[in-house]
Order: sequence, then structure tokens, then C-alpha cells
Amino acid sequence: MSASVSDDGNWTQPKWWGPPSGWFGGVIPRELVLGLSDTAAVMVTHLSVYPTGVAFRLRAFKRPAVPAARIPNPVDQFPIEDSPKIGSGEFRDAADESLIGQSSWEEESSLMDQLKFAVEFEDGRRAERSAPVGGPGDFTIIAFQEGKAVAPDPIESIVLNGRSSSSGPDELVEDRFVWPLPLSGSLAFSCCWSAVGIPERRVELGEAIWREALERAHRLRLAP
Amino acid sequence: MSLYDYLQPPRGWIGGVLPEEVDVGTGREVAMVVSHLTAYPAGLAFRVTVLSRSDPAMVCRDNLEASGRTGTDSADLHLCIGVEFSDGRCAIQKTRWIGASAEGGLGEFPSYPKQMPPDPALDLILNVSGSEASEREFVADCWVWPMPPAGAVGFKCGWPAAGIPIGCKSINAEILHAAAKRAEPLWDLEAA
Repeated sequence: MSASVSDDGNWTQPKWWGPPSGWFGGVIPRELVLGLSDTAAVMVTHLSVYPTGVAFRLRAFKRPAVPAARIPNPVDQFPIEDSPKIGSGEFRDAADESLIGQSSWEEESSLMDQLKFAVEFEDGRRAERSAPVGGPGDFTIIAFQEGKAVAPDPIESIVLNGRSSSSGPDELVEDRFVWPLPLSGSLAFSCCWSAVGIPERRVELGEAIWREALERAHRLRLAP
Repeated sequence: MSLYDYLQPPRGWIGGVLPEEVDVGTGREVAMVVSHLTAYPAGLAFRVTVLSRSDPAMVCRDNLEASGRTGTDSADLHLCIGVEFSDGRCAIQKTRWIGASAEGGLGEFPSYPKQMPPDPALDLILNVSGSEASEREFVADCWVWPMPPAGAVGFKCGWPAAGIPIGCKSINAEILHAAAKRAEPLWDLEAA
């Protein structure tokens, strides 16, 4: 794990990097279905709120043992506030639908690569899976890793950092951290995965939901 | 339900998630918490997070040095994660965050099914997978099959080398059963 070096020579994790050291996050007790088609789904799970941001798992996967019939779409029934709202932002390029049906490892990886995913705040800040820093200034994760003296602005920037990931032919799993918390308002997740028939769609977590979870976050409690 | 439900949480389901966490171990430098309790008709997923106030290699220094001399990790160096049902079934898995030997000495997979396919009335499978460690944090995602019967569900966890003896903290299976009823499939799995 990369981090920055403080004046005393110790490694210090920047706030945008991941959950704050020594904190247990407050769990948001729900799993979000961002997108669903006959052949695949995109979900956000393992949502935890910290004073500095939100950790979660992005999962994109193919339908197991594809059946012929389909029941009513649970996305339309899932009780998330303002669920079926089309995203205000736009993803930067369209997916290549010609990959549907291909099956080699490389082709499947390309299919997973085409997943578009973004996090948005009500004030307009937006970070994407393929463009993880939003906001003014010259901060980029790569510049930070190269040792440049850059930092994001907590009022105007947003960072969607990747903590770990794994992918296979049928499933992509990415553990992510979005920094900071919104000043107010909802936290929105959006995805688009055209290659498997999932159009752009946005799901919002209302402010009351993430604030309630934030109250459950706590520092490491130790025995005396 | 699938024949392989005992291996991992069912892909293609929205799980019923509980906000509660369970403090399963507290030492002077380290604490263990079970969270993200997510119930399905087939079983229970949960996450174990271990946080350390200081470098875990320093916390376990004495044990690491002793293990280094023998070339084998002592059992106390292993993180223990276990589940116990009210009918007496119990499964404990060992994993490790730090160690002195390359192979770790974790031994055999201890909760392998007694028969194939496993019997939900007799077996209890605990899969600890997807662990991730950083300087001060260890996270493991776990899967329990099948759903526990009514009564208490115990989490038997500990890390003796870090000052957390293996203990048992219980919750009532009723809240897990209620959460499992909220789980729903993404697709018509019966047609598969």
C-alpha cells in the first residue's frame, strides 16, 4: 500500500486513500442493485461509512446458469430513495456491444473493463471508475504515487480510490473508497454496462441513511 | 438453491444485511469485530475485521520470535474465526495475518463436509475467504452454510498471540432468519 512520508519519516496514509486507521465503519444495512439485465448484474455491497468517506464493494457478474424465464425486475421494486433516476452525469464513451457472447479470458476481461461506474454528490462532484478524481487542481493519484506534493481539495474534490480487486470470467469485485463524505445531501452510485444490456442507471443513498450509519462508526476500543 | 451453496454466498441474490456488529475480541492493542452480517435462505455471510493500534508484529513479538526459532508458527499466532450453532455444531477456521514461517502451519481445512453433498441438518461449513491485510488492519469475508437453527449463534474468535483468547459471543438466530426473509433473487433461479 502506498502512502505519504511525514516529517518524522513515518508512513502516513492520506485521508483519501482508504478508511481511516483505527476506525470501524458504520454498516449501511442494504445491498444496492445498480443494474440488471437478463445476463448480468451490477451491485454495490459491504457499504461502510467513516468520518472521512465511504467504503464499499463493487460487484459485476454474469447471471449464474442462465434460465429462460425471468421474474419481475427487483431493481424496480428495491426500496431505495429515488431509485430509477437517470444520472445527471454522462459516461465518457460507449461500450462495444460486439463483445456479447465472446468467451475467452481476454475477451471476458474486456467485457468487465467496459463496465462504467461513478459516484456523485449532490453538489455535482463526480468520480468515475476510469477517472477516479473529480474536482479542480492538479491532483491525480498517479502524481501522488510519483511523490509529487499534490492533494485533493476536501470541499471541491472527490476521489474514488481502489483498495483491492479481483476478476474472473464471470465476476468482477472491486473494493473502493470514496473520499470525502458529502457536505450534505445524497450519495449516488451510477453504472452503465451496455455490452450486457445494462443501460445507465443511478441509485441514491439519502443523507439520512449514510448519516445514521456514520453514527455507528467508532474508533478502535481496547481493553484497559 | 444450488448444490454448491455451501461454498460461498449465492451470486445473483440481494442479501438481507444487518447493521449490528459483534465485538468478538478486545485486547490491549488489538480488537476483532464481526460485521456486515448478511443473511440468505442458504446461509450467512459476515466480515471479520481486526484492527491493531500498533504494528501487529510488535504486538506478537514474543510469539513470533519463539516461532522463528522452531521454524513453525505456533497455534497462538493464528487468527481463529469460528461459528457455533445451538445444536452443538461448530466450525473453527484458522487464518493468519502475520507469521514466522512461509507455510504458516495452518493445517487442513477443518470444516470440510462430512459427506457429499453436505447435509444441512448435520454439516456446518465455514469458509474464510477473501482476506486482505494492511499495516494495521486485517479483513476476512466468511460464509456459513447452512443457516443456523433457532437459538443462539456463537462467534468463536480470538488471536491469542495478540492478547485475545478464543472466546464466544452470541447473537440470536431470530434476527438472522428475519434478515434472510428480506433476501431476494435477482433472477428466476427456479427456472435455471
